Amino acid sequence: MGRKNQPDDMGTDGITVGSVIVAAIPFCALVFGPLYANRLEPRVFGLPFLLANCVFWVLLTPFFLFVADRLRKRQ
Amino acid sequence: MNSLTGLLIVFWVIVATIGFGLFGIRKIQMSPSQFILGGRSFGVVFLWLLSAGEIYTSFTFLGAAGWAYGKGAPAFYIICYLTVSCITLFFYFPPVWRIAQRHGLLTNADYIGFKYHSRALGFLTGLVGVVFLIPYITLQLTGIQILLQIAGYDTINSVWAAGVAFALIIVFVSISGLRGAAWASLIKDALVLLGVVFAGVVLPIQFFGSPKGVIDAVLKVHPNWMTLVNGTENFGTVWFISTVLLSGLGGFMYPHAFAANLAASSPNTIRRNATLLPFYQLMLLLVFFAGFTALLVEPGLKGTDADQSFMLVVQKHYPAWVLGIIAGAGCLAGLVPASAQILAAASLLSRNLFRVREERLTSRTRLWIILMAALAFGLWALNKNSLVGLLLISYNGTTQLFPGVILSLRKRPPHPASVATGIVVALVLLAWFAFHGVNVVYGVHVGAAALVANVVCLFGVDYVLKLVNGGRVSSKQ
Repeated sequence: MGRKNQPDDMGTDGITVGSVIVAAIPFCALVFGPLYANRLEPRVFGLPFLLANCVFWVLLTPFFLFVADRLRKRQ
Repeated sequence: MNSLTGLLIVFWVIVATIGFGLFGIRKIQMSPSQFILGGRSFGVVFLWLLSAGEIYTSFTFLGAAGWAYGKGAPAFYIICYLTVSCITLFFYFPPVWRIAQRHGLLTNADYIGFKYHSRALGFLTGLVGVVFLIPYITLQLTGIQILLQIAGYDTINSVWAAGVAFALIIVFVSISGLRGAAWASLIKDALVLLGVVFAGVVLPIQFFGSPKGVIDAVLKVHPNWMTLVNGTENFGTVWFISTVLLSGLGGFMYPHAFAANLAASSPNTIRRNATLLPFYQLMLLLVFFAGFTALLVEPGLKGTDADQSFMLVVQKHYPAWVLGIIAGAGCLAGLVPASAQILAAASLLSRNLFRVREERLTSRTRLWIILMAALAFGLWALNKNSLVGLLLISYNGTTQLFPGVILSLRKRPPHPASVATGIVVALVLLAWFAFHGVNVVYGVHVGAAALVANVVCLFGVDYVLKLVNGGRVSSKQ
């Protein structure tokens, strides 16, 4: 216990700082959304702004994760 | 007559799905790894179906509508946290998968036990997994009972009807293992999508002209329904943020969700699945519309009755066969995840809590499936709670495993005793909160508060242990 990991059990699958930063954008928007978006107006396609903000970032998340995947270091 | 039509359709939907699942596994040889993890061979499509099948449960179908009906904007947390789960999964799971595959690990408790070289910590992880899966399974049973009660127009004993449906799926999963559950998910996902589109698009259009119309109509009656109301103790901005964080980080800590991802055929499959899963959230938007429609058409449901909201609208305004199909979809949304959850809990019991030899693992897991199902059913018959309430109890406990999993990926993982201390302190705190009926502390969700205590204790104890051992941690158990 507390032993060092064996070298072959390490490796973060090429995660880079860049990929984490890119993925952190939708993460923060979804978690902290209500701090800036807790409003009714402007309505987006009839959705109240708070809900529209959630939906917007949910739909953009796949895009951000795709970019994060591109930024990983390939082995 | 009506009640018979509705229930017969529900019955045939369940039987057909089970038949399809059994057909899907007819040529499969059952080894423990096949039974518990589908042989670690699921590609993107299959993993996506299984993940969607597991995540979108009775809770999605009824509870999310119930919250839109009963609380309004706080329900929006559900779309956010599932997406946050996907973002975190993308990063931490591929390394976990590699280690699990290299060393033949089958459960999350296996993984923790192996990484920290501590069977005791593995045991604790397994115990937390089993204990906190029970409210989640109970939640599925509550959902199924509500649906059967409505589909039978209150003419049958819905508790026993739910028991029969549950027994069918338990026998199914004890034969088919995870691969069968994945096949069943295929039908379940398709039918649930159909049901949700009906509830979230057809209902609002019929009653209010368009989905936008229902929002306008709700705002006329309840002007505060679409924003978080601060100042009140519960369900303000801080509650929202802390709950999204808590549930988002814990999203894939569940034994069954862990198992589904270990069943992936490669780390890339996991990443692609995490990338694509957020699209599934659009379904929840439709579920919210269904809840809002019910709020205006069928007002006045209080407390746990809100979970029945849009199903009551369907019951009152549509023929029995429509009700039957939607209730059938809803029942699958409860039964399929319940089968995967029972399977995961049973594999923890047979592999980590009461160990058996590898060659007896499959038969022993099957036995535990039956026992675990009986236990969950018994506990459920004694005590029922609202759907979101049950879900949050379940998340409160399971998320406490998150720090241990993340820190296991560091070059030097913390001492297992410190991880265990963190988990135990958090659970004691949660029990204390539950005993005193506290749901929020200073606006923060109790589970998130417990998670903070967990992390503080973890690092504190780890630091002290390092000091005591003179900066060197002993390598003995």
